[in-house]
Amino acid sequence: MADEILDKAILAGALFHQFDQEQTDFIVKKVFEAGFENRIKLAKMAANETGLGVWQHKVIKNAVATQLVYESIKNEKTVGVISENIRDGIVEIAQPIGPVFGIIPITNPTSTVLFKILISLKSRNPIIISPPRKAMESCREAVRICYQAALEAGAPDDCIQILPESNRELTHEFMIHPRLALILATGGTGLVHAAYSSGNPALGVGPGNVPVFIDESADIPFAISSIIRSKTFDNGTICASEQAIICEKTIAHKVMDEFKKQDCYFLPPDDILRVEAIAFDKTKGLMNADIVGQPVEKIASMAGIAVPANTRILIAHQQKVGSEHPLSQEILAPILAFYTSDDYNSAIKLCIDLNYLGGIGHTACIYANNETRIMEFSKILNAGRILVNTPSSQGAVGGIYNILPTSLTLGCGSGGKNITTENVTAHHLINIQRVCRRRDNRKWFGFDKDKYLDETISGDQIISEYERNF
Amino acid sequence: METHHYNPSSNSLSWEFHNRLDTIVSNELFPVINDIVISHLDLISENPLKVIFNFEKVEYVTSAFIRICVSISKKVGRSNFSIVNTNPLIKKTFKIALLDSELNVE
Repeated sequence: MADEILDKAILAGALFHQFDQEQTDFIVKKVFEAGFENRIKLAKMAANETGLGVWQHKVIKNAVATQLVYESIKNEKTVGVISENIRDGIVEIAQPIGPVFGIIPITNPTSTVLFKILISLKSRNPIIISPPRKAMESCREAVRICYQAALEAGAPDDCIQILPESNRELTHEFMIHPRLALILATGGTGLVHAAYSSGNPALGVGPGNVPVFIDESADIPFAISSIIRSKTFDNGTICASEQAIICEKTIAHKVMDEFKKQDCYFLPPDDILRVEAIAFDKTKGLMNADIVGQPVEKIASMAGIAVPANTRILIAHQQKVGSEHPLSQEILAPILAFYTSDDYNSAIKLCIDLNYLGGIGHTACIYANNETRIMEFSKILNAGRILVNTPSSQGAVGGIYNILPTSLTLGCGSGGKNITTENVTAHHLINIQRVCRRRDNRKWFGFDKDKYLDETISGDQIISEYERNF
Repeated sequence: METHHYNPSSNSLSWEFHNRLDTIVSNELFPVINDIVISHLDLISENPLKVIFNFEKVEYVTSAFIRICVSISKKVGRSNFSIVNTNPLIKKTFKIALLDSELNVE
């Protein structure tokens, strides 16, 4: 099956080489329009099929994955000459990379399909979508809509394909296929590791564990409102969503009062244990898949606890960080860990511990109006995105609260075993060729190279001679 | 859209195509080319029938036309089909599609 699908993709990719920037941009525009037109239908399908999240929020995700992604890539040069530096004699030429294998997460199925299709087409690459088993139909419909629009706009046959079934063996067969150009993997640690171990180039994105530091200089009501807006979005399914709140004890009561005022519920100690038991699968060492993207009422019911009506987020006081403390780890649901510390340094050290507990390189967040502290926090945390006074779910994907490239694939750098810390977008899917015209290095040609062979001359003397300004 | 020529002495059919071989053009061309090739396959000759597509004036191909090439190549035999005078972009297209050897693209 992999051979047949890849044969078609390779032919589509070959035909795509003939397209210029104008033709490519026309196809991308038509596919964006089709995806955007169907944002509600696809959101409802995804929510119904997966049982995760909130369909209205999935509409927003689909709008972000089409409208904002299109806005961020529409003027980008991805065909032919993309830059020209006459002084340095360097011209850059973009070439497509070939068939892309797009692995889709169950938490954001249709939006990730739309996003990966748009950035692949913008870079003139065919894409093969690998949907999760529990979002097969919604992904299939998203692909059908995009493919039809692409064909009508003149795109090559088979430029977008979807696997007819979803299983590990088939995914593996594609990932190791010698004719595949790149794996665009969004998912859990195991999947991303498999992609990087496949022998094919991969852009993978692993899990997050986002610490949020609220500094005493922060506007606390604003910070809490922002955190709630982010953490409740699609019931917390975005991997950049807040996982733990950290603040100094001097402001802890203000922070807690504000959370309570805005309909969040601090769990009593016994209930924390009950929530831990259903939120985390200790045998797998992972969050329990059954609570991912579920509303507070359902989580409370699963845990057998009573919570006030209209509770938006469950908050659990925590003292320690580590694998033996389940709520200090990533939970993609409206549950937050809450830490207070004696002083600023202790707070930052807690943030580091949380950051390194499964979320290295992903995202960190700070609420502060003290520039020194913002920069200290940013330099010490290991995160591809450090968001300042920003809801992290929406901030990390870019295009809403900042001008990061809009993306549903967030690079985590070497910490997350990724090749980039950037928000992955169309320019990551092109090979850039550099035409280098001769520009002689005068220092090199004016220097007597025999001196390199002379053992009596020190390195410092050679450097000094090389740097000599005649 | 296309012109073709038959050379009895070498038992070869050659076509010259123009401009963009898009899906609509290809769908119209296929039955025409197919019928001509089939009618020449039965001719008695010392040489096997050869089919040559001249791409000197072709600027763009689609998968529909490539399917025609593959189909005709199968009919006359791989060694008896060739595509000649391609421009570099078309040559690269067949190269990336891993069809340049199979279709004898020059």
